[in-house]
Amino acid sequence: MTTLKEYKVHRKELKAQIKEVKATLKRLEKELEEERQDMQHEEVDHLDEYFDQAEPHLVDVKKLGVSAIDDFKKSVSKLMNSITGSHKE
Amino acid sequence: MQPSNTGESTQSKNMIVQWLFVTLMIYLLLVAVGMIGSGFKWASGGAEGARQLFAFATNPVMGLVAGALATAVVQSSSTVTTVIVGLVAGGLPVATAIPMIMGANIGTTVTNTLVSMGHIGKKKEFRRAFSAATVHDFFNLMAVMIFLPLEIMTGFLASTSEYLANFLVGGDSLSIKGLNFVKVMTAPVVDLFKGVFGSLPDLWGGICLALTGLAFIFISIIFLGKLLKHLMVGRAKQLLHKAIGRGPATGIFSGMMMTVAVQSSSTCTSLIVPLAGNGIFKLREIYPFTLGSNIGTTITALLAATAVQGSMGFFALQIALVHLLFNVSAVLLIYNISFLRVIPPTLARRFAQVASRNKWMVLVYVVGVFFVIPAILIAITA
Repeated sequence: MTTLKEYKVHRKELKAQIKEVKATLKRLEKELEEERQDMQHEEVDHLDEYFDQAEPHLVDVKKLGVSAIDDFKKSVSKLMNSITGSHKE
Repeated sequence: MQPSNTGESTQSKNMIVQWLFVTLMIYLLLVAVGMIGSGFKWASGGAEGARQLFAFATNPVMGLVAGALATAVVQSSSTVTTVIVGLVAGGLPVATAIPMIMGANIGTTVTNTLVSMGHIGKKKEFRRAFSAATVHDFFNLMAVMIFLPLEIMTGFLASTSEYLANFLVGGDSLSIKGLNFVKVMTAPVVDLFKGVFGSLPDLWGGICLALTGLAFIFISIIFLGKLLKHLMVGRAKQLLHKAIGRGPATGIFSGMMMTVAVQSSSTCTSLIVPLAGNGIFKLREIYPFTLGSNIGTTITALLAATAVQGSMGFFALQIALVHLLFNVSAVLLIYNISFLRVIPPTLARRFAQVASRNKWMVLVYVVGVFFVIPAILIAITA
């Protein structure tokens, strides 16, 4: 049987662990944010390359058309399946 | 050391030539606005004729749709707003032009949405890029949904811009203080082209003059964009470096300054789409930058207004100020009220999630919102 005293000690230990994990999480988040900002600076240094990407291309519209038709077929087939009650194996 | 010096001097010579071209293109833009104004006035026979010609747009929804469709087709809000300034200079009533200016804001968002299609092959990347693009769409749609009814009910944009235009123009001459030289510089070229088309009947002479102005606007904005993109890339980098890790106000400011530098909101808002796609920039960082772009793009119409001669210069300035006031008010209202502020990014995120799973929705959205619905509405009214 755990005594009340033992329970309180254990609870204190767990709370300390939670605090520690929280602090670690906060630190890691901060590190990640700093790393992301470094990456942002690095990408901004290559802004001239992004200028070329920042224009609409006809090929992309064509790709959208193809993907849209595929997805539309899937959506229609899903709808039909739900109406008829049949399921794909 | 000699080759390096020669290289540097060649580079600086190239820079000088490019800046001279920029000056030339700005001059061409100003001349073009003057030509559209004069041509439109000439063809329509003055303010009454202009009013009759644009009678279809007296319905504000029609004006809005016309502005949106025209911008989506030419993919440049600067071109459309400059043409609107020219039309106002030619007699188009400011009240009719206000919804058109708002429509240009909606139409310009199609460009970055199309740019986001470049990521369609990768689901996650596309979701991020598409939400970064559509946050602009949702913000501008929301701004119009708030401000168009407000303008119809109160006319606050028209009256505030009138007050500001009165404040800016000098006395009876109705010309912007200190910018008279612009009109002096552009008038001879406009008169030259008027002379060229002078032998034609009034209607055709005016149409030819306005169309030549339109062609000049296209040429000047396309080349200006290309030149400034090349010349201002260093400045754009500096602005973005400074904005990284700072608050939304810096984001808005950098978006505004970058758009002023490259004279194109489409370029700026499209530029951040691939940066969002690769996950380096988050939607919450892109959102204020986009709003800054909306404000920065108004500089073109203001610049164009300086070219208009005579009493119509006042109205040209007024409509340019409407563009500025509308965008500033939208940012101040929507971005400052927290429950309004979260609507565009939330909608953009949710729509991107659904759209990345069902790409046909993207196609329906782009074709429907920017082209089919406006075309149907125009056809119905016509």
